[in-house]
Amino acid sequence: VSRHAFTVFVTGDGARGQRTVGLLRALCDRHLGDDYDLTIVDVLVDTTLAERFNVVATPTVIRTSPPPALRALGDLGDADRAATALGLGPPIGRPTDNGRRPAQDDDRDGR
Amino acid sequence: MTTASPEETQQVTRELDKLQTGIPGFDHVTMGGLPRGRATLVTGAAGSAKTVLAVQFLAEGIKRGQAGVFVTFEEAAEDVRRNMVSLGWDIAAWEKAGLWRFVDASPVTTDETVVGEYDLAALMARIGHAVDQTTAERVSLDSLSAVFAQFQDRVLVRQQIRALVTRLRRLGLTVLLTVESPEGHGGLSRFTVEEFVADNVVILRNTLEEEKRRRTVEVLKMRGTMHRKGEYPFTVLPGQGIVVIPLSVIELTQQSTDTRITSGNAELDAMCSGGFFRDSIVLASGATGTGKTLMVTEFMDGGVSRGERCLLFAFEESRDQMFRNARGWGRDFEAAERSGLLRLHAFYPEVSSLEDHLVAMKEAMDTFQPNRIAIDSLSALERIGTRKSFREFLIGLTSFVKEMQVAALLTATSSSLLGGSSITDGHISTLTDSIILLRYVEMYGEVRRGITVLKMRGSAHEKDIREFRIDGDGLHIGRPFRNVGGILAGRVVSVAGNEDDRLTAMFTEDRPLDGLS
Repeated sequence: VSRHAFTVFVTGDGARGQRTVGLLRALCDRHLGDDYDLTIVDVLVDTTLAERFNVVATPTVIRTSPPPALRALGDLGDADRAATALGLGPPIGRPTDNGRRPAQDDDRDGR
Repeated sequence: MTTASPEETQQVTRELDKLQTGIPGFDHVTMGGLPRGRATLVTGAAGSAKTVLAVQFLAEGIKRGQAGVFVTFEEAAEDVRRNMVSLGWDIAAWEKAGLWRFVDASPVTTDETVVGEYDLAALMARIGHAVDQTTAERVSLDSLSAVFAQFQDRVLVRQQIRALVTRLRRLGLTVLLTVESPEGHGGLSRFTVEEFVADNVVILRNTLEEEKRRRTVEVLKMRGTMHRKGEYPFTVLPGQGIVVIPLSVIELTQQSTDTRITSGNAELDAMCSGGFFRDSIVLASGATGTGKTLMVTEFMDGGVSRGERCLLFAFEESRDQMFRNARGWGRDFEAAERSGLLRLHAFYPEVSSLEDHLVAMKEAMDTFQPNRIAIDSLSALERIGTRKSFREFLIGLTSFVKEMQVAALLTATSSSLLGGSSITDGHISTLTDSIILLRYVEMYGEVRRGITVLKMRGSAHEKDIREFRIDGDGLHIGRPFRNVGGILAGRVVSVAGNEDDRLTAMFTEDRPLDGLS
């Protein structure tokens, strides 16, 4: 399994962006330990990346690896929904209720 | 004025600065273009050419050296690029030249889930960046409906779009936004974007009337500035895009002249007290075979033989047939075309819409710069459009002719052989300066032909109904019909008291036509 990588698009250094980054870190720590990369992009500074990923709203979190790409829109206020949206498995050291990892649609194509 | 509310009447004196869009006819309807530094909302149902208008707004700007930013929410940039090639717009080349920037905000194909709060600040940043890079003056956003579809939170989207428009206005940009309106919704969108985004609302319509497609544009409101009211037909042409047909272009200011020109027939000139006026529109109406095409032929020949440029539109017969007709009456139109004085356009009416024909005819007039124009016949065009669009066609056509200040001879075919008027007559008689009627006259067991000048604005003319005949030289006008009535109505009755009077009248020498020996 390739290492997880996420890109977070925020606007400026506002509270909402910082909160989102914080929540994402906590989420990743819980689900992936330290086995992930996190890139933070300020769309005011780097519009090119926003163009390339066609980001319209902020905050936007994109799971760039492993494929398929997944996107979550918003400040990730709901940790469980955020985990599902970003295709994160069960928290490390704790199985899901039915003892299996959540299903993933691997045939879905991402841009 | 757009509005009569008291707080706005003060602005009347200070007209807003407008940005000429360059879209043919559109600046006429908007009376100078879109208000500069403001947002204009374009609403319309699916397929009403909103995207074309949004692209053309930028394309025409680029022709004038103004860069543009195109924000696409619905189609991917690549699709817009490809779809617009047929309209003659090479967007890729403009992008290379730094005159056009896309902000592609079309829906992503990636799985996307909304988790918590967000805003559209990234969109604003991208648009702002694109504007900075190109120093754009024009921005198109197409279409807001797709933004509403993409982001469910309507309150948020409305608030964000309002903020975006405010920001673009502050940058001094002239903005065009499109939004889709459901059919039969009075042309307004379901998101009530109108209320908060735009001071200016333009409605595009594409309706089916009497089995004919009809596209129109209407300026619903334009705050603080003047615009023309009502629907104006438009067409979308390959290589050109939207062409709005400006009805009643002419503020009737131009001087009418007293200069007379020949109709190409000396006897008809005499009936008209010396010929047609140089800047008048003459309608010749009659049943099929009464000699309308011959009148047109003589009118063209009369111009060519005096060194005038003559433009002939034929809708009933092919070029070859028109040449053959002319030859039959002793006129060589092929030689006339070679000399450059005559140009003959033969169109099959059904090949395009009335709007397209009108645009093509205007182009022909603009290129050829004729001294006289003939159209044979208007009735052939009548059947391809609705009554309304035919009426608009005639208004548009006569305005173009008036604008050029040239003489035009138009023909109309009446539906019944004897007497009767054509539908065309009813539409056009008020738009013409002169009307000539050609009629079959059934008398004493034979069919003869009669001609009369029914009206001639600004001039005396003969009131008689004269008999005429047609031979290998053309049209020969003879004596007035005497002692009969009802010719125009197609029911000829003898009005002579007795056989004696009738015989006397028949052998009385009629006065010759004025000006003829």
